[in-house]
Amino acid sequence: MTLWNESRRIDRFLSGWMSKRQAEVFKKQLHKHPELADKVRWQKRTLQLVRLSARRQLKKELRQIEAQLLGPEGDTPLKNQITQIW
Amino acid sequence: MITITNDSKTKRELLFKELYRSSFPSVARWVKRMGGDREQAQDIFQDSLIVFYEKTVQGLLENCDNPPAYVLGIAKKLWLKKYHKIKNDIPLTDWEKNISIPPDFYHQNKKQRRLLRFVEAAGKKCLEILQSFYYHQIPLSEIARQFGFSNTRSATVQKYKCLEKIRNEVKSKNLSYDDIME
Repeated sequence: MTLWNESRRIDRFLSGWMSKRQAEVFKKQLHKHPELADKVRWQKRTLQLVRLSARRQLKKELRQIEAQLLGPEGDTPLKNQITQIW
Repeated sequence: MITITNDSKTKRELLFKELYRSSFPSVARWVKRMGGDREQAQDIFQDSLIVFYEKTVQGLLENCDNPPAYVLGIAKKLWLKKYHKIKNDIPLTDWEKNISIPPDFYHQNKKQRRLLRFVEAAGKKCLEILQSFYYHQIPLSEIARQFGFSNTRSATVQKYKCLEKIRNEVKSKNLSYDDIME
Protein backbone atom coordinates (compact mmCIF):
# COMPACT_ATOMS: atom_id res chain seq x y z
CA MET A 1 0.00 0.00 0.00
CA THR A 2 1.39 3.41 -0.88
CA LEU A 3 1.91 5.90 1.91
CA TRP A 4 -0.80 8.09 0.42
CA ASN A 5 -3.35 5.28 0.44
CA GLU A 6 -2.45 4.45 4.01
CA SER A 7 -2.88 8.06 5.18
CA ARG A 8 -6.16 8.16 3.27
CA ARG A 9 -7.46 5.04 5.02
CA ILE A 10 -6.41 6.37 8.41
CA ASP A 11 -8.11 9.66 7.54
CA ARG A 12 -11.35 7.90 6.59
CA PHE A 13 -11.26 5.85 9.79
CA LEU A 14 -10.63 8.82 12.09
CA SER A 15 -13.20 11.01 10.34
CA GLY A 16 -15.91 8.34 10.59
CA TRP A 17 -16.26 8.04 6.83
CA MET A 18 -15.87 4.26 6.76
CA SER A 19 -18.89 2.01 6.85
CA LYS A 20 -19.38 0.01 10.04
CA ARG A 21 -18.00 -3.09 8.37
CA GLN A 22 -14.97 -1.28 6.92
CA ALA A 23 -14.23 0.23 10.34
CA GLU A 24 -14.42 -3.20 11.98
CA VAL A 25 -12.00 -4.62 9.41
CA PHE A 26 -9.67 -1.68 9.95
CA LYS A 27 -9.77 -2.08 13.74
CA LYS A 28 -8.74 -5.73 13.33
CA GLN A 29 -5.81 -4.60 11.23
CA LEU A 30 -4.78 -2.20 13.97
CA HIS A 31 -4.55 -5.15 16.37
CA LYS A 32 -2.45 -7.13 13.89
CA HIS A 33 -0.19 -4.28 12.79
CA PRO A 34 1.18 -2.18 15.67
CA GLU A 35 3.00 0.15 13.28
CA LEU A 36 -0.35 1.02 11.67
CA ALA A 37 -1.91 1.55 15.10
CA ASP A 38 1.01 3.84 15.91
CA LYS A 39 0.36 5.93 12.80
CA VAL A 40 -3.32 6.21 13.70
CA ARG A 41 -2.43 7.45 17.19
CA TRP A 42 -0.04 10.08 15.84
CA GLN A 43 -2.44 11.17 13.12
CA LYS A 44 -5.14 11.65 15.72
CA ARG A 45 -2.78 13.74 17.81
CA THR A 46 -1.73 15.73 14.76
CA LEU A 47 -5.35 16.54 13.92
CA GLN A 48 -5.95 17.64 17.47
CA LEU A 49 -3.00 20.00 17.20
CA VAL A 50 -4.32 21.30 13.88
CA ARG A 51 -7.61 22.05 15.64
CA LEU A 52 -5.91 23.78 18.57
CA SER A 53 -3.77 25.82 16.20
CA ALA A 54 -6.82 26.88 14.19
CA ARG A 55 -8.56 27.98 17.38
CA ARG A 56 -5.57 30.11 18.34
CA GLN A 57 -5.65 31.71 14.91
CA LEU A 58 -9.38 32.33 15.21
CA LYS A 59 -8.93 33.94 18.62
CA LYS A 60 -6.38 36.31 17.09
CA GLU A 61 -8.89 37.22 14.38
CA LEU A 62 -11.57 37.83 17.01
CA ARG A 63 -9.34 40.13 19.04
CA GLN A 64 -8.70 42.18 15.90
CA ILE A 65 -12.41 42.31 15.11
CA GLU A 66 -13.17 43.39 18.66
CA ALA A 67 -10.53 46.10 18.51
CA GLN A 68 -12.15 47.40 15.33
CA LEU A 69 -15.68 47.35 16.73
CA LEU A 70 -14.84 48.85 20.12
CA GLY A 71 -12.08 51.18 18.92
CA PRO A 72 -12.29 54.91 18.17
CA GLU A 73 -13.74 54.34 14.68
CA GLY A 74 -15.87 51.43 15.85
CA ASP A 75 -19.54 50.59 16.24
CA THR A 76 -21.03 53.37 18.36
CA PRO A 77 -24.25 51.63 19.49
CA LEU A 78 -22.23 48.58 20.56
CA LYS A 79 -19.63 50.69 22.35
CA ASN A 80 -22.36 52.58 24.20
CA GLN A 81 -23.98 49.35 25.38
CA ILE A 82 -20.67 48.02 26.70
CA THR A 83 -19.78 51.32 28.34
CA GLN A 84 -23.09 51.26 30.19
CA ILE A 85 -22.26 47.82 31.58
CA TRP A 86 -18.76 48.80 32.69
CA MET B 1 -31.59 28.76 9.69
CA ILE B 2 -27.92 29.46 9.92
CA THR B 3 -25.83 28.81 6.89
CA ILE B 4 -22.24 29.62 6.55
CA THR B 5 -20.26 28.83 3.52
CA ASN B 6 -17.00 27.27 4.56
CA ASP B 7 -15.30 30.11 2.83
CA SER B 8 -12.85 32.89 3.21
CA LYS B 9 -11.77 34.92 6.16
CA THR B 10 -13.94 37.81 4.94
CA LYS B 11 -17.20 35.92 5.26
CA ARG B 12 -16.18 34.62 8.65
CA GLU B 13 -15.40 38.16 9.74
CA LEU B 14 -18.86 39.34 8.70
CA LEU B 15 -20.47 36.58 10.73
CA PHE B 16 -18.40 37.40 13.80
CA LYS B 17 -19.13 41.13 13.56
CA GLU B 18 -22.84 40.41 13.37
CA LEU B 19 -22.61 38.15 16.42
CA TYR B 20 -20.66 40.78 18.34
CA ARG B 21 -23.43 43.30 17.74
CA SER B 22 -26.26 40.90 18.51
CA SER B 23 -24.75 38.89 21.37
CA PHE B 24 -21.84 40.56 23.16
CA PRO B 25 -23.91 42.93 25.33
CA SER B 26 -26.00 40.11 26.83
CA VAL B 27 -22.90 37.98 27.47
CA ALA B 28 -21.15 40.99 29.04
CA ARG B 29 -24.13 41.64 31.32
CA TRP B 30 -24.23 38.02 32.40
CA VAL B 31 -20.48 37.90 33.10
CA LYS B 32 -20.83 41.02 35.22
CA ARG B 33 -23.59 39.31 37.23
CA MET B 34 -21.16 36.44 37.77
CA GLY B 35 -18.63 38.89 39.22
CA GLY B 36 -16.44 38.95 36.13
CA ASP B 37 -14.75 41.98 34.64
CA ARG B 38 -14.74 43.36 31.13
CA GLU B 39 -11.61 41.47 30.12
CA GLN B 40 -13.12 38.18 31.26
CA ALA B 41 -16.30 38.97 29.34
CA GLN B 42 -14.32 39.65 26.17
CA ASP B 43 -12.31 36.47 26.59
CA ILE B 44 -15.31 34.21 27.26
CA PHE B 45 -17.24 35.81 24.42
CA GLN B 46 -14.45 35.20 21.93
CA ASP B 47 -14.24 31.58 23.06
CA SER B 48 -18.04 31.32 22.68
CA LEU B 49 -17.81 32.49 19.10
CA ILE B 50 -15.15 29.87 18.39
CA VAL B 51 -17.39 27.10 19.73
CA PHE B 52 -20.36 28.56 17.83
CA TYR B 53 -18.32 28.68 14.64
CA GLU B 54 -17.19 25.06 15.00
CA LYS B 55 -20.74 23.86 15.50
CA THR B 56 -21.92 25.89 12.51
CA VAL B 57 -19.18 24.53 10.25
CA GLN B 58 -20.08 21.01 11.35
CA GLY B 59 -23.70 21.64 10.40
CA LEU B 60 -24.95 21.23 13.98
CA LEU B 61 -26.84 24.53 14.11
CA GLU B 62 -29.00 24.37 11.01
CA ASN B 63 -32.14 24.55 13.15
CA CYS B 64 -30.87 27.25 15.48
CA ASP B 65 -33.33 30.12 15.23
CA ASN B 66 -31.88 32.27 17.99
CA PRO B 67 -28.12 32.61 17.62
CA PRO B 68 -27.69 35.25 20.36
CA ALA B 69 -29.39 32.99 22.92
CA TYR B 70 -27.27 30.07 21.82
CA VAL B 71 -24.05 32.09 22.05
CA LEU B 72 -25.07 33.18 25.56
CA GLY B 73 -25.69 29.55 26.47
CA ILE B 74 -22.24 28.59 25.21
CA ALA B 75 -20.72 31.48 27.19
CA LYS B 76 -22.38 30.25 30.38
CA LYS B 77 -21.08 26.71 29.86
CA LEU B 78 -17.58 27.97 29.12
CA TRP B 79 -17.63 30.19 32.19
CA LEU B 80 -18.58 27.18 34.28
CA LYS B 81 -15.86 25.08 32.66
CA LYS B 82 -13.18 27.73 33.10
CA TYR B 83 -14.06 29.18 36.50
CA HIS B 84 -16.10 26.32 38.01
CA LYS B 85 -18.68 28.65 39.46
CA ILE B 86 -22.21 29.74 38.71
CA LYS B 87 -24.09 31.83 41.27
CA ASN B 88 -26.80 29.74 42.90
CA ASP B 89 -29.47 32.27 42.20
CA ILE B 90 -28.74 32.23 38.48
CA PRO B 91 -28.92 28.60 37.44
CA LEU B 92 -28.58 27.38 33.87
CA THR B 93 -31.77 26.37 32.12
CA ASP B 94 -32.17 22.75 31.04
CA TRP B 95 -31.64 23.83 27.45
CA GLU B 96 -28.41 25.60 28.35
CA LYS B 97 -27.21 22.62 30.37
CA ASN B 98 -27.54 20.48 27.24
CA ILE B 99 -25.23 22.63 25.15
CA SER B 100 -22.12 20.58 24.51
CA ILE B 101 -18.64 22.05 24.68
CA PRO B 102 -15.71 20.31 22.92
CA PRO B 103 -13.88 18.26 25.59
CA ASP B 104 -10.49 19.64 24.51
CA PHE B 105 -11.51 23.26 25.04
CA TYR B 106 -9.48 24.62 27.99
CA HIS B 107 -7.74 21.27 28.27
CA GLN B 108 -4.17 21.77 27.20
CA ASN B 109 -1.14 20.88 29.22
CA LYS B 110 2.35 22.37 28.97
CA LYS B 111 3.59 19.74 26.54
CA GLN B 112 0.65 20.27 24.22
CA ARG B 113 1.27 24.01 24.19
CA ARG B 114 4.96 23.46 23.47
CA LEU B 115 4.15 21.01 20.73
CA LEU B 116 1.63 23.44 19.30
CA ARG B 117 4.28 26.14 19.00
CA PHE B 118 6.55 23.64 17.27
CA VAL B 119 3.85 22.57 14.81
CA GLU B 120 3.01 26.18 14.03
CA ALA B 121 6.66 26.93 13.25
CA ALA B 122 7.30 23.69 11.35
CA GLY B 123 5.32 24.39 8.23
CA LYS B 124 3.03 27.35 7.86
CA LYS B 125 1.58 26.47 4.46
CA CYS B 126 1.05 22.82 5.38
CA LEU B 127 -0.71 23.86 8.56
CA GLU B 128 -2.94 26.29 6.68
CA ILE B 129 -3.94 23.58 4.22
CA LEU B 130 -4.74 21.16 7.02
CA GLN B 131 -6.66 23.82 8.97
CA SER B 132 -8.65 24.71 5.86
CA PHE B 133 -9.67 21.11 5.25
CA TYR B 134 -10.07 19.63 8.73
CA TYR B 135 -11.10 22.67 10.78
CA HIS B 136 -12.82 25.08 8.42
CA GLN B 137 -14.06 22.15 6.29
CA ILE B 138 -13.39 23.98 3.07
CA PRO B 139 -13.86 21.67 0.04
CA LEU B 140 -10.67 20.54 -1.65
CA SER B 141 -11.76 22.19 -4.89
CA GLU B 142 -11.82 25.53 -3.07
CA ILE B 143 -8.54 24.77 -1.30
CA ALA B 144 -7.00 24.07 -4.71
CA ARG B 145 -8.13 27.49 -5.89
CA GLN B 146 -7.06 29.36 -2.75
CA PHE B 147 -3.60 27.79 -2.60
CA GLY B 148 -2.93 27.84 -6.33
CA PHE B 149 -3.00 24.11 -7.05
CA SER B 150 -3.73 23.11 -10.63
CA ASN B 151 -6.64 20.87 -9.69
CA THR B 152 -8.43 19.12 -6.84
CA ARG B 153 -6.27 16.00 -7.10
CA SER B 154 -3.09 18.04 -6.61
CA ALA B 155 -4.62 19.64 -3.54
CA THR B 156 -5.61 16.21 -2.21
CA VAL B 157 -2.11 14.80 -2.70
CA GLN B 158 -0.58 17.87 -1.02
CA LYS B 159 -3.02 17.57 1.87
CA TYR B 160 -1.88 14.01 2.56
CA LYS B 161 1.78 14.94 2.14
CA CYS B 162 1.31 17.72 4.68
CA LEU B 163 -0.48 15.38 7.05
CA GLU B 164 2.34 12.86 6.89
CA LYS B 165 4.98 15.57 7.24
CA ILE B 166 3.47 17.07 10.35
CA ARG B 167 2.56 13.67 11.77
CA ASN B 168 6.18 12.52 11.45
CA GLU B 169 7.50 15.75 12.94
CA VAL B 170 5.12 15.47 15.88
CA LYS B 171 6.22 11.88 16.46
CA SER B 172 9.89 12.80 16.18
CA LYS B 173 9.47 14.93 19.29
CA ASN B 174 8.91 11.58 20.94
CA LEU B 175 6.18 12.69 23.27
CA SER B 176 4.05 9.97 24.75
CA TYR B 177 0.40 9.62 23.92
CA ASP B 178 -0.77 10.19 27.48
CA ASP B 179 1.34 13.29 27.89
CA ILE B 180 -0.44 14.93 24.99
CA MET B 181 -3.96 13.63 25.25
CA GLU B 182 -4.67 13.99 29.02
